[in-house]
Amino acid sequence: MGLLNGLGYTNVRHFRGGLNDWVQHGNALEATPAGNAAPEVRPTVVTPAASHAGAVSRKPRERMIALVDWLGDRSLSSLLLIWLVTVLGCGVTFWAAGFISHPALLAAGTEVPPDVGGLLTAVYFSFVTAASVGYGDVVPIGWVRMVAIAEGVAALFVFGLLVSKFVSRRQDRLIDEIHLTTFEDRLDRVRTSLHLVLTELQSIVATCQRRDWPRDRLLARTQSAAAVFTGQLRTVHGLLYRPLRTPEEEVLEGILAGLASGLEAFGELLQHLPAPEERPASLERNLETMALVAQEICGECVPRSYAPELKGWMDRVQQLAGALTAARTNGHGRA
Amino acid sequence: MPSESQSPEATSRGAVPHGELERRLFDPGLSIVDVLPRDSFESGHIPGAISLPISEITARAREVLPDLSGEIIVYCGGPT
Repeated sequence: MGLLNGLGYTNVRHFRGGLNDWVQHGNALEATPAGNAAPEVRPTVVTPAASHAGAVSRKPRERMIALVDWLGDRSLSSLLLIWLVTVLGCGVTFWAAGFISHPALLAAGTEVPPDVGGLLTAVYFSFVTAASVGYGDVVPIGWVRMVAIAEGVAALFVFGLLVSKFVSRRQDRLIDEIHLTTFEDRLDRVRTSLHLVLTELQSIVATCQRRDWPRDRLLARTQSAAAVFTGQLRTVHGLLYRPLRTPEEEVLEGILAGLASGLEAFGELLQHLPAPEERPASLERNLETMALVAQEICGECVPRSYAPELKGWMDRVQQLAGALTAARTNGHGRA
Repeated sequence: MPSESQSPEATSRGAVPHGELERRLFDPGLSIVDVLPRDSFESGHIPGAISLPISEITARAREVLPDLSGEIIVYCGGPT
């Protein structure tokens, strides 16, 4: 909003509630593949509940794959339940088939009757088939055979899934631990790098004020500090906008404060540097990227909800990014 | 640190109440701008909104919003 005002737009207002407020009031969202909705095209209007379902897959193959993935995501107990329900359901089907076409099942040569005893036999047959045992004491007749075959194949598949889930449990736990360690490592690196950049920046500013250092050396130091800083800025941006894990709030606050200090320092440094035309292109590019990435760190736009202090820091980072952009374009020359 | 407030002064400073946006959804004189990333826009946006991610504002604003004095309402994710 500040950006747009800076570009000359005079009538800009901010809908503070944003998408979340919109959805919470029960309003529908629009989902279009194109960037700007063309008036002739009728976009699909999706309700908030279904909005994350995405495009409907038309091909049966895609649906199959989706089904397999869905099954794979179920927990152990859900899978067991699904298996059980399928087997019982097939048992009932076999029994019910006895009403439609006699005989459906044969037990030791005689037809399985459509009564309670018959139901039990049908369920027994279903279990025997699903576990791929197939004693052969009860056999299907006619079209019921197809149902038996389908049950055998499906149950085998679910069984295999169950077993593999058991095996992968341990692996999943290990992977989770690795993720956690990597994440904490990353955060640690960001903190350390930020600290080093800030120290370096302060040193550069102090040196500038002494006016006895050659300009090229200063520019080179600024450039490398800017490169490292922008890298850390990008990492934090990624952490905020693609959160796989939420960092602890104090840690995040410290990092955001570091970013704010860094942006402030760069803004101040710019006053001591030569005019934009005389700065190396790579430094300019870094500063530009820095400002752009920092501007996107908006307390209300990030997917997760953070404490007000954190949001305040994010807003401060955004503000400083705007100030940096302004300082860049009105570059003061070095006296 | 500046903090976002939902006080009545916010409205006069330029914030938009929900009811107004709802009513004026298809008002041709109003441009609704979504500053979230492109993939967020594609998976769901306020009907009638235009996509203009923050990173593209400086580059594409003039192209997407040619009228400098036209009425623009900007939104992002909003507080969760």
